[in-house]
Amino acid sequence: MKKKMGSTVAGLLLSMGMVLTACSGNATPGAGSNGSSAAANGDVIKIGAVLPLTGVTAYYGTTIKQGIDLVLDEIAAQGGINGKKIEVIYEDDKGTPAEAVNATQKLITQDHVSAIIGAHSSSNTLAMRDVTEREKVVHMTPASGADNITEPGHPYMFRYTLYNGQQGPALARYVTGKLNLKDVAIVAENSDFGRTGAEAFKKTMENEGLGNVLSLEFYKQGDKDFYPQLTKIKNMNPSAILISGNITEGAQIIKQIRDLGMNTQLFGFASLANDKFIELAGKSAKGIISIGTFEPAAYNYFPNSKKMVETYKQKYGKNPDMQVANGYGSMQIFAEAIRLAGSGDREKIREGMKQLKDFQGVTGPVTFNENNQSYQMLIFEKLENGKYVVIGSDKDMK
Amino acid sequence: MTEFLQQTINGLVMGSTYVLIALGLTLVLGMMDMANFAHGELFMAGAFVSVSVVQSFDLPYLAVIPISMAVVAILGIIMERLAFHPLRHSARINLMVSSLGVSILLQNVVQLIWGPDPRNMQSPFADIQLNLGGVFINGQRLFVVIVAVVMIAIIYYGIQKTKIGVAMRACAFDMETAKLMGIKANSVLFITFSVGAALAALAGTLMAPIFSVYPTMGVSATLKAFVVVLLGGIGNVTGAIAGGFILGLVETYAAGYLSSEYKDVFAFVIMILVLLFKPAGLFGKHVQEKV
Repeated sequence: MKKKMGSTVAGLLLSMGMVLTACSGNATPGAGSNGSSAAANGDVIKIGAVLPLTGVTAYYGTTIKQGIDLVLDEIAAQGGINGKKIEVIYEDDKGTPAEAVNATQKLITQDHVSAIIGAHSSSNTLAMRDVTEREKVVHMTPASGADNITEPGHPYMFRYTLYNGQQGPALARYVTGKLNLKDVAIVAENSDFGRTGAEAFKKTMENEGLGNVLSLEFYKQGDKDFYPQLTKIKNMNPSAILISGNITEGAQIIKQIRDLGMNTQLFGFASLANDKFIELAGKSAKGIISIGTFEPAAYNYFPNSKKMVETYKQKYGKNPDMQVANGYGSMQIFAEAIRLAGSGDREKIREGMKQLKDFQGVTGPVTFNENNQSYQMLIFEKLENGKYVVIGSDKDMK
Repeated sequence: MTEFLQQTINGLVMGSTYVLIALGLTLVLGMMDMANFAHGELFMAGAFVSVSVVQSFDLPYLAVIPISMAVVAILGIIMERLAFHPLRHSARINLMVSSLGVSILLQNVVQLIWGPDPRNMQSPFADIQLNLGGVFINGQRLFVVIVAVVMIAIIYYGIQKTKIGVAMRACAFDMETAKLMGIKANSVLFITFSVGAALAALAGTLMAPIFSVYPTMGVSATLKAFVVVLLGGIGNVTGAIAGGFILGLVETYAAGYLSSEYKDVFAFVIMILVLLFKPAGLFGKHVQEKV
């Protein structure tokens, strides 16, 4: 009996483990394609949003949602767009690609949305793209950084956030050029976002002869114990450590780095530039340098953000971060595209998106390039006295 | 050499929490022949109870530990009474599915109450930093190991020597015969569930200041605890203790010297190898087939 029990348990465990670690997200797409005309009917234009509202990355999902909601309030106060009400239907992808695909399918076939915002993680956005591309629905990610989301050009996929091919090299040049730190170790999340970020950084370091990447260590999302990797890194004596990951694990990594007695300069990608990270990491994060596309109160860099920052503070009692700004910006862009389209027609919205030229969004002027990637200014920020302070931007570096 | 010592300490810290989580699981598994997939959620609940008690009542960390253990012990008993007890005569698979349901339910209830954001917990030991000739250990991690080792010793002694411990082992060996011998199997089950839940809560409270606390943190804890239990042999307390430390050390050495990318894979590979070559577990030689 016990022997049999053992193998039953093992079988169940292995399948659970596979679900947790593999997450390949090749969910079978359901049938049913609705013409774009279906979405255009009625006085309500529906937009779908697929975000992690629960799970390890829920922080990002909820902040992006808050940004979107602010724009919806504004549109409602103005009486809609061309007299039409805008409604956003939120779906929770729980941070997993399979859930993201199911949610996307549901939004397109059942809710007949005109366009879709999502997801947070790159793996989820890539999985969703298969569906939105097939169904010809404009899809914009406000948060996924993996390069291959928009490259080499996908007609329905848009991105309104910085991407790894932009932030990786910029950070590499900043670290080695401005700060003269040449020996870098990388700790990266084993995901599309974490891997491509680390690789973009590493490639620039090597191709441009900027310095050495001593070690590249991967971890799984949800891991808690990073001491083994960090002990190995400590032995290599790096002058800087880059974290290519998200806040929950990033905060632990930083605490554990300090626990092991390392005073090395730390760097992170834009995913770490928010208040929740500062709260989780505590004083271990002191002096960390992050890259980002937004910082509240840095009005000299983001003159269009004042109204958004104030409304957000009033509503939620805290400062908005880059995710809020990108959620807000995405919805602003969709609203403008709908205005240009004059209706909720899927194809016309796509044409509207392509027409945008220097649209004055919350983080600066928005134009989508030939790959549907919007340019966003990069800023470098340093954590001083529990607050991120802007110490430069990619404009200053040129 | 310093690196090796540091890795060994890293492995022992993780190992001691694995033991705490796995002990409760192995006791229940041995006694009821049921895999409780909600066991990791007791670990998670322990961490959440501690965080909220600290935040709302401003109590010191040391006082929070017994509170969290007591609250989660009661939760464990409720879980047993509502989800497992009514199913005790049905097929084992029903119990497993029921526990999976409890696991999902607890994750969602916690999320409903506390929200999905990760949280932090402060500990008085977190700022202490010991440097033993280049080998670093944080005060909280040292505290984890000390408390875990003391607790493991108490539980081990309790199960081997005390009357209730003997009763637990008798029930695990053969529940029906134990009942015939006058053991109150029902109360033994009650105690086992509460002890197991309290141990998981202890692990949660000990790890909360080191790791962030969030609703889905129990899932990986369940997986690791099962690996430990299968490694050491189902229902075998000595096996769970050894298995926990073995898993902690193997994972750490593998991540430090081979590849961090496949850290979790090693745990499963060991488990599969043990099941293939020693299906009763490394310490499972006394386990007999029930008829």
